Amino acid sequence: MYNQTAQHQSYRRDSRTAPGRYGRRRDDGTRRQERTRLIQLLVCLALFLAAFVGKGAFPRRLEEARSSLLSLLTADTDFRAAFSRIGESLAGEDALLGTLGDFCVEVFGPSQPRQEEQAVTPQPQFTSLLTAERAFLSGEPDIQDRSDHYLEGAVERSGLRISAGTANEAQAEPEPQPEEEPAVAAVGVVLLKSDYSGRELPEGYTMDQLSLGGLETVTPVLGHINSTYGYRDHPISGKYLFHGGVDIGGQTGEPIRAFAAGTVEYVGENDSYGLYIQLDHGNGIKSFYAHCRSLCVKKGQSVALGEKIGEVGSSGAATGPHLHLELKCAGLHLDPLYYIDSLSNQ
Amino acid sequence: MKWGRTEITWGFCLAAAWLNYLDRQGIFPLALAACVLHEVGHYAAIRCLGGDIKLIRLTAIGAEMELEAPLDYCREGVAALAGPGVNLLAALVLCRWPWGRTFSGLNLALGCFNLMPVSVMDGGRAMACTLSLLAGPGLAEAVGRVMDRAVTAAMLVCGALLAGARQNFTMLLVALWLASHFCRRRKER
Repeated sequence: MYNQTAQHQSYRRDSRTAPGRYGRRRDDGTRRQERTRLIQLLVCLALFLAAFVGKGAFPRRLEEARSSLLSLLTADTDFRAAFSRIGESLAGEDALLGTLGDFCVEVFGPSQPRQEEQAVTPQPQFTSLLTAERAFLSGEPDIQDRSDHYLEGAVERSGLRISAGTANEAQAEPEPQPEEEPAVAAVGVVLLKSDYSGRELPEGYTMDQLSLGGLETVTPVLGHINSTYGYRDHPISGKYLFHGGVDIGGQTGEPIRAFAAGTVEYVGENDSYGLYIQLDHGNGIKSFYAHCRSLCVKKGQSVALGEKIGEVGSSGAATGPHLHLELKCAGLHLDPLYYIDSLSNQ
Repeated sequence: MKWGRTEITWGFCLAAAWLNYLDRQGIFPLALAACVLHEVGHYAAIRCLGGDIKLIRLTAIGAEMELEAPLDYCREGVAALAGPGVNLLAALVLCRWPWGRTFSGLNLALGCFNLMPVSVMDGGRAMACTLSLLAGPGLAEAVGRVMDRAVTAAMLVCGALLAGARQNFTMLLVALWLASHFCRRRKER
């Protein structure tokens, strides 16, 4: 929060004091000042030693403390991106007042996901449909289970009710076609509960597979997974940190496709992520792409499913060309590997 | 530490080191540069208006200037607005280039923040000078006192609510920072 603590500037009128007022008290004042400075020096030394020793002896713990403190102070706001958006608005790309309002909401507003925003109407799902159907059918469901499974959504929508007897009487009739009325969980509903039992996850991250509703998706870059979602030793700093996405290896200049249809929420550049972009796919689903060599879409632009949005690169803190892909749903980071294909998985 | 007319306190060094340590996005150098621009704006305006700076003090909660001799209300108001003015000008100029947009946005945010109508900020000082000219220093001081209390109290309440409900402490920290200014000023009196 240095932009709010160090930025205040003021000037004040001279509060002149007659030199005589100091006189005899000057020695006392100087002594007190020296004592204060000595205490300040000791405090600085103690803090320096604490940081120095802590970094050497407990690097992970110190890094965790730093992360927690930073999350607490800044609510994980991407200030760089937020300031860039204001600059872009000023350049005439957006309404300035609206962007300033968004900035205030982003900085001061809620840092936790709003659960009430997750309530959406169930829609057909494409990406995980086959997996869900395979799991259901492998359980050898009987006719009642099948009718419940496939017709539940349609029945609720039409206001009709089918009793068990009716279903039994209709045994001779053709079975309901799964493709016609698939039962799909609402966005944010847990499809697969992870049995992850490792170190505690940072706030806002989950190992579970959540439903993306009816969102049709593609794999942005098909390549080998260089680094998976979860805790890992950072390839550059060597620190054991949580990796909030997957690193997909690719060739420099290889096209990056939009994970799903949506709108470009923001683009930006910093030393860590390099050139990055976030797409908003609606219903709280977002995809984030980093380390790009170039981008070919602008903020606010609509993109189609699979449309080229940029090129793979190694901008920012990267050891080679790759795409860092993050997926977010209802304010939670998800493991993208649930939703994309990769060469290592084939 | 004193260097010419600039006094740098230990608190400032400590706060700067701490913020630089926490900074992961490279914002700190940009914020520092924006603050320097802001300060240069005040300094240039004061010199142009015939005033002179006796001391620039950098503390943990901000920077302040002491003048050799007080300015009249009109010139003081102009000098107060010069800092945010330079930030806004820099924002307008730099937003033309993609590489300058982050710094531009930061300058705009800094300029707007400093225009808050509380007496420790440039906006409040400019408001006090304007009111003093129009209705006299008594009314200006009374209005300033009410504004200080109302804005700080509102920010403290909103900050506490946001911190309690949403675990977002940013507003509360800004409110506490503002309150610390008033406490410090009262102590000085």
